[in-house]
Amino acid sequence: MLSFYRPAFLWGLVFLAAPIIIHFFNRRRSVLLDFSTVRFFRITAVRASKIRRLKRLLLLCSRCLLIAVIVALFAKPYSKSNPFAALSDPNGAIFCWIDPTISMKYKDGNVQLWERALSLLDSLDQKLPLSSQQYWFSDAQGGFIPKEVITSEKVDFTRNGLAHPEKIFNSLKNTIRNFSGFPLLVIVSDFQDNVSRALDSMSFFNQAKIPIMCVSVAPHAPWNFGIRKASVSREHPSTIVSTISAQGRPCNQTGMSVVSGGMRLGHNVVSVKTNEHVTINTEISNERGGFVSLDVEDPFSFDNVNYFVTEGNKSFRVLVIGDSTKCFPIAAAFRSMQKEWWDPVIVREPRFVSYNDIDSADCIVLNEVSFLPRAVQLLVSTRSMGAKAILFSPGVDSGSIFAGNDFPNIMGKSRKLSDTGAVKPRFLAFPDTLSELWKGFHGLNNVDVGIFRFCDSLRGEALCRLDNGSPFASGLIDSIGNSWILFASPIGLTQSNNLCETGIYVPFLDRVSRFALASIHKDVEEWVAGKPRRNPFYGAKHPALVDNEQGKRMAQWDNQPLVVFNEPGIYRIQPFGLPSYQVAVNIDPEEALFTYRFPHVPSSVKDRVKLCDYGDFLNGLHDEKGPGFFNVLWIMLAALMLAEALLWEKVDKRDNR
Amino acid sequence: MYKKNKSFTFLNPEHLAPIRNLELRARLIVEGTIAGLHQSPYHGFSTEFLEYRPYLPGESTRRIDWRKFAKTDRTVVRLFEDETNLFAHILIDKSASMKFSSTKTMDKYDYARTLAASLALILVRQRDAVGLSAFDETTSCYIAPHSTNIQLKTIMAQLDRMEASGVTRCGAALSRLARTLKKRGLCIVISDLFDEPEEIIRGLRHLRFKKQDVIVLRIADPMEQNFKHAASLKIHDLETGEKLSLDPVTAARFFNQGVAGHHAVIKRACRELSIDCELVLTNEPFHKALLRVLDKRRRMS
Repeated sequence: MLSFYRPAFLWGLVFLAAPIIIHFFNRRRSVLLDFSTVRFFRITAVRASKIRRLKRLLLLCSRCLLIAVIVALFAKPYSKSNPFAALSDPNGAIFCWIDPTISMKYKDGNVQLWERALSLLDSLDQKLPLSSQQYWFSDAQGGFIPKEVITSEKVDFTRNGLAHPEKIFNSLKNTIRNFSGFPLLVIVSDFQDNVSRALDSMSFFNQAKIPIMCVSVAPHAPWNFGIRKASVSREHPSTIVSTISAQGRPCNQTGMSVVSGGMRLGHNVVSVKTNEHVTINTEISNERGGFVSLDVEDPFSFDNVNYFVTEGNKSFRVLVIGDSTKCFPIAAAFRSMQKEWWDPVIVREPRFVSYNDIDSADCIVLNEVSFLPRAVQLLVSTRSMGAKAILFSPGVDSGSIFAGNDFPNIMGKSRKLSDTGAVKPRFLAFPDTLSELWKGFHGLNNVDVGIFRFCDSLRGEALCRLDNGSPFASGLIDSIGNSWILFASPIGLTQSNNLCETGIYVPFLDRVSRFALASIHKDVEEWVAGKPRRNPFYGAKHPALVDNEQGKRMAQWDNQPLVVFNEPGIYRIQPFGLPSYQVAVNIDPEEALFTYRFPHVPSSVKDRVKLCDYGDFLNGLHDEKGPGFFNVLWIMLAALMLAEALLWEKVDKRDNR
Repeated sequence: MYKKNKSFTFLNPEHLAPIRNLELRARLIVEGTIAGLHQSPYHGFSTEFLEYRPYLPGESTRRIDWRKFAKTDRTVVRLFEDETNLFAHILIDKSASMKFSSTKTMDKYDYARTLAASLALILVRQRDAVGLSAFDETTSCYIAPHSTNIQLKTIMAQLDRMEASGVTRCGAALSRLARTLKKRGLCIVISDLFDEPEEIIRGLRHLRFKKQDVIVLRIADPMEQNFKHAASLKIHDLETGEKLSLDPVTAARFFNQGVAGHHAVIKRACRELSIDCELVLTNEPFHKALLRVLDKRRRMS
């Protein structure tokens, strides 16, 4: 892929016609000559004749090539795949993306990384031809916009979270669609592991069909002390558990304070060895939110404070999919459990289930669904929604349609229905009454629960059985990571069993649902500043109000699918009609892990993706000659002139004989 | 002896080419320029009168019959039987290579047979016995030497009838002729000599061995003497039909070198064998070629 700095000179290629015309003008058609004898034209003459013809052809080629090389030297070619060469293209457009993550605020010496990135782009700006255009990515504007517009907003480039690379890619694609010149994407980042992972995950280099220059401004020997996590102990709610880490250097005798309600409630002196971490427990007297701070000067101060709350929301969203009449006992059971645990509980008919419903739910109950909605099919086939706890109960009543055929890897390819008849049902049997799962259950057998029809071949680990040994509920983790609880019989209103009419119905559902959540380590999610999250009140009928610690109204969450906190801190969320609770918003802990690596560059795009560090980039900018293209052209020119001289002399000499 | 004269210019090949009758062409050449210049080196002793013939300018006045002049006021010369004992044999190359002509007026074969006819006419007129052989790869025609007018007619007719074809085997033809010759005499070889030099030399040596004086007239087209062509060539061999694609520069280089080497070998051999080897170009006036031959004969006498 070649381009030219001065393409107007390519008109010089019309001179190529000159040697070709001369050649064909001199070349007459072969004449048949009846001659007395050919005894003097033997093999050598024929061979010499062929060689001479070949030489003439070579001479023509070398002349054409000579003209082409001279024209190319004037037109100044460069490889489009070479980003450094492309920088000098007067018709080029430079698309710059400065990594907006907070890790760019790492202070290397006296300069923060994002300041270094800006100075680097200033150097680039000075080197670019006047006619070339520059676009910078603005997270606030949501796309690439001309640099002139954005100059005054430089500070806006540093954000707490990472903009999704797909957003950058789409914006880039839309911008270059109407652009006729030659585009180049310059990514300036510290290339922390999370950034590179994000770029790798969407095969960014493969998808972007333009040359890309990745310039790393990462420090050479990063070091940092920080609080990786601060949270309230589950066992002892008055204890704050803080994890202190030291990277690159040992942290010696450093003070650590716990502040809550504006008062310093605890203080410790910690020492951490290089690249290790320690856990410090601090007793506090009140049960309010606060923060843990590390009293140290280090290059990255943003992780020296970590917020915690003592009254956080621990509720999980439940989505019940199935016939609303049959499912109402399920919804009622979840609603009657601990209010702060299962909230909200939403019932949806299968045909009304949306992607957002599925995505925002933590626990999904599929009760007697006759078909799998598209959103559920996506759930069981891709990782895009994250792991869920799924309770699946098949329809085994007469006339029901078994939807388990849609995911044979979960339910198995063969199933066998057993019908005990109305007279002699099967009963539930629990393996124990001591384990965390069945603790507090009255007996190993519960004869109140009669199972009349059931599916007797369940996959996975049996959690409880029928009195004939056939599993009634089993648990398994699928390849996507979802935690499945499979029931042998429906768990809603059904003719196949009387489970919902018995006293163990609510605790039974509660236990298996919690078991499913525990299997995927589902805990109350932490909020990360700058990183959008699912709106916890999405689908709820009433909005929630968001205030900061000082009581200032920050936002109102209606029915939007995503919400975000921009700055770390403690926020109070006031759902309509429900008690308020606090959330602690911290920086992404990955941002404080200063492990750097470039994204993986596939071999197919290696020629158009350049990875370089800060120094290499500046050296490349100041190297006027650029890559060895011109050297090759000069060598070609010399070689062609030599060839011309040699061939021309010989031919000319013989012609004059 | 011979000086360039404007009156001879009509004897150029391009002027004679339109004359299709070979005898007429020969007479024109001979009577226009040559007659009287030649004298047989071989004197017979016969006194039996044969016929009168007109005195030709340039002949010795001693042979004029003054009595007849006194009676008729015409200068005539008396001819006698067995006036000469020269047995001349003309060997003409009729191979296909002789058909080549770059001038489009007269090809080598046409030139050669005109030359042969002229020589035959001269020789018969001075009562020398003339024979004719024509060859390509074989000897296709042989006429034993006689000195009669009928013989001349026969030779003329034969030359008129023959067409150039076949491959040159000059050396073999010379050897075959040498085998048939019994008396000493004169052999005039008219050919382009495009045969193996060794073969030709062997044939000439054979003739010399048979006590023959040999004159070799190498007929060459001007282009064969200095090959020059502007365009790329596909050369078609008239003898073998072979075709070769060549560029003009290389063709000229190889041909000119090859021809020069070929004839140098033959010429050197001729010198060693005391054979006259004359180059005759087809654009050369006939009288020039004939005079060179006759001059050579006179010097021999």
